[in-house]
Amino acid sequence: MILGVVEIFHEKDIVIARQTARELTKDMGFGLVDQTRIVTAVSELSRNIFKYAKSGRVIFESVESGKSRGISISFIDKGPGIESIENAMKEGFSTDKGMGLGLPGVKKLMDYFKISSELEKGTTVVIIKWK
Amino acid sequence: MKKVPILVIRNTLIICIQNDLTDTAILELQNDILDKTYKTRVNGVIIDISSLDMIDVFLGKVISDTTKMVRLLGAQAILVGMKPNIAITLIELGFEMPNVKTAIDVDNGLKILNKYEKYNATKVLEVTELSGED
Ligand SMILES: Nc1ncnc2c1ncn2[C@@H]1O[C@H](COP(=O)(O)OP(=O)(O)O)[C@@H](O)[C@H]1O
Ligand SMILES: [Mg+2]
Repeated sequence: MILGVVEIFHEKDIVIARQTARELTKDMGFGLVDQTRIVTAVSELSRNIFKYAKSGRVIFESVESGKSRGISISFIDKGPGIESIENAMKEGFSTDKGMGLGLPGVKKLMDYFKISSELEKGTTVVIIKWK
Repeated sequence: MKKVPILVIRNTLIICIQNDLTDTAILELQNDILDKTYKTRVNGVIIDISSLDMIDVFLGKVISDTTKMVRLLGAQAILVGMKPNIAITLIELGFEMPNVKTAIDVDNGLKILNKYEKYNATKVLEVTELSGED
């Protein structure tokens, strides 16, 4: 079930995506540390959309598997894509003088992490955190 | 855009960083802190992050850079009030802030700065005495 959608277009939308993540995870009853992990992940991946693709969309969904409930968040853009996902996932790799900790860091914070990308077509990252 | 107030109390700047600042606002705040440190000639800068509910890599880097820049200006910077959930998330992300001085809260931060001030005062005194003997 879709819980919310945030369009990333301006810098301020990164803040809105964070606020949305904060409200939804609180409502779903996630513990404080998990709320923080999720809000931080949303901030990193929304900034990547804004920085590298200029615009895109963040979709928040509730997911179920057996008895467990979780939140799935997709980050979709039609930007330049990523040349080498293997490199992009390395700690310290950045094409923009960044810290290069966003993608590998988010993967560590989440239970599920999937990135797909095609040059000149765009990038999609899906993350899930189970309760 | 939201402006973060910077308090000047005695020889110390106190900044309470709020949630929901944009990246641009965070960089402006860094500039303001450095400007004010220089102009007011304070000895210490306390960066209070107790009202933050998350620190991502960008904010963490700006905070850690700011403490280094403050040190270059000749003042001491202390980060105070980090919550456990944020400490856990930062370390899991792989972002550590070595060389950043921390304290539990503003009060303890002030105590630490106070010690520095006394230590520096004694050092200066010793130098004066030595040169007086020549
Ligand atoms: N949505 C995206 N579109 C295109 N490239 C991306 C995207 N997200 C990440 N990248 C690429 O992956 C690299 C690593 O990203 P990340 O780990 O977040 O570190 P940083 O943002 O500090 O560079 C970026 O420097 C960029 O080249
Ligand atoms: Mg990034």
